Amino acid sequence: MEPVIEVRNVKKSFEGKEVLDGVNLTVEKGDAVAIIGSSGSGKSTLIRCIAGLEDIQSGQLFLKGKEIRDKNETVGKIGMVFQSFNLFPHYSVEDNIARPLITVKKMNPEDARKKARNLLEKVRLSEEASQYPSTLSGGQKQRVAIARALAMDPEILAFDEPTSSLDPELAHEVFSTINELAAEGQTMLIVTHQLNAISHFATRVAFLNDGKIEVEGNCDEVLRRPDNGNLKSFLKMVEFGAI
Amino acid sequence: MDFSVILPYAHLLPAALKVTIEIGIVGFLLAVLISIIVGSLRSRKLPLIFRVILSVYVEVFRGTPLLVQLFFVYYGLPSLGIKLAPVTAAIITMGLNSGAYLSENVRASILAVDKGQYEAAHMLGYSPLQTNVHIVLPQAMRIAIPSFMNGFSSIVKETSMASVLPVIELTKLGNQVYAKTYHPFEIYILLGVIYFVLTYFLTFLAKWLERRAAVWNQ
Repeated sequence: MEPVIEVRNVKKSFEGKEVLDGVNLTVEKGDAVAIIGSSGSGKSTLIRCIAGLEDIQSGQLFLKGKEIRDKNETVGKIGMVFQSFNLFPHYSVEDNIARPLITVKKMNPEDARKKARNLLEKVRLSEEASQYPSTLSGGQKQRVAIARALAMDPEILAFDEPTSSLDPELAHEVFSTINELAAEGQTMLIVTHQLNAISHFATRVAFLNDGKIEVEGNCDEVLRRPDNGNLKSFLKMVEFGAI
Repeated sequence: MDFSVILPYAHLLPAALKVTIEIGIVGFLLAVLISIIVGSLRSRKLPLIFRVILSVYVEVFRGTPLLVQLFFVYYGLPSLGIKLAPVTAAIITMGLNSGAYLSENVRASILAVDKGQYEAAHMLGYSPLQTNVHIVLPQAMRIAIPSFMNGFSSIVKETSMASVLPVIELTKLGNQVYAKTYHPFEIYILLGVIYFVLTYFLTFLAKWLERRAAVWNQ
């Protein structure tokens, strides 16, 4: 099967500090890949490079077999869900989803709104359609952000720590949406700290340490039977709530 | 004190008030337009030449007296073959002057919009222009409403400076009535009251606008 995303030996440094040090990663269609690792391991940088929000210094990125040479090439094809939601505060919930379709995809307003309402139903926020984002809880905001990203029919959804700024119960809301998407076969790449949530949706887990993917495998291999020392100590730290 | 001396001239008031309001409103709208364009441009990375031109504009209009600017536009520009009617000259000068001040507020408001908004818009496929028009400017304008409304009431008060040009607005009318009646106290009190009522009305408008925009306040 053709990979949706392929990362080949990608390097990235900020002011001389190597953040990504030759990362290789492949995301197949229907995969839900979770990227874990301690703070500063380069997880967010990796997903931002893939999304085209950061330039890479060397290596190659491929989207559906085609090399991404310009960061605009990922636009509309990678749906990004941010830690801080980044909803448009001046648009209602429905408009957050419909307006990009009207403005960017030139969809006619009626179809765009219909699509927005369908997606809101999917994330169970139909009743909030006419509200402004400022009136929503964090979990609701993030589900709107997911619906907004889905509306563009992206090849892949990329989540950059989608629940880091949420209380556990609100994080749970967001993860149940993610679980449902995984069950539908939505291709996803998720950076997260929430290890106990991963096993419900992730087809594969990658452990990033010091800018390198040190371990990659299914949930069982990575989370329950780790044989890598760094991964073991990372899992211990998470277990003790240090991360 | 005898306000009745003004009465014979009362019929001249509507025309003068109209000129004042015209210069104030059109000047303000021009200032808003200029400030949005200049403020948006100055909030981005521009080629050096544009940066220099825009900052010369802003600094010159902020660094010289409005009165001198008015004289220059009305009396000076004809030497370059640009002859403007007095009301037009006043509107253009007011617009350019306030536009320079307000552009700095617009720039600051644009910079206050969260970086995440640009990233979200980019990922959804918005072009830089679309991002500015649909996402950033509406939010920046919301932030800038108070300074815009301040600018508006400043302009309304500054229209009195247009009295140095051959145009009969409120202050000029007051001066003329004073010259005929020699009752400065009554005349300038009344003049002050009229300006005050105008700007006070604007304060209410500003509050109403802010309340409306607060609907989506974060």
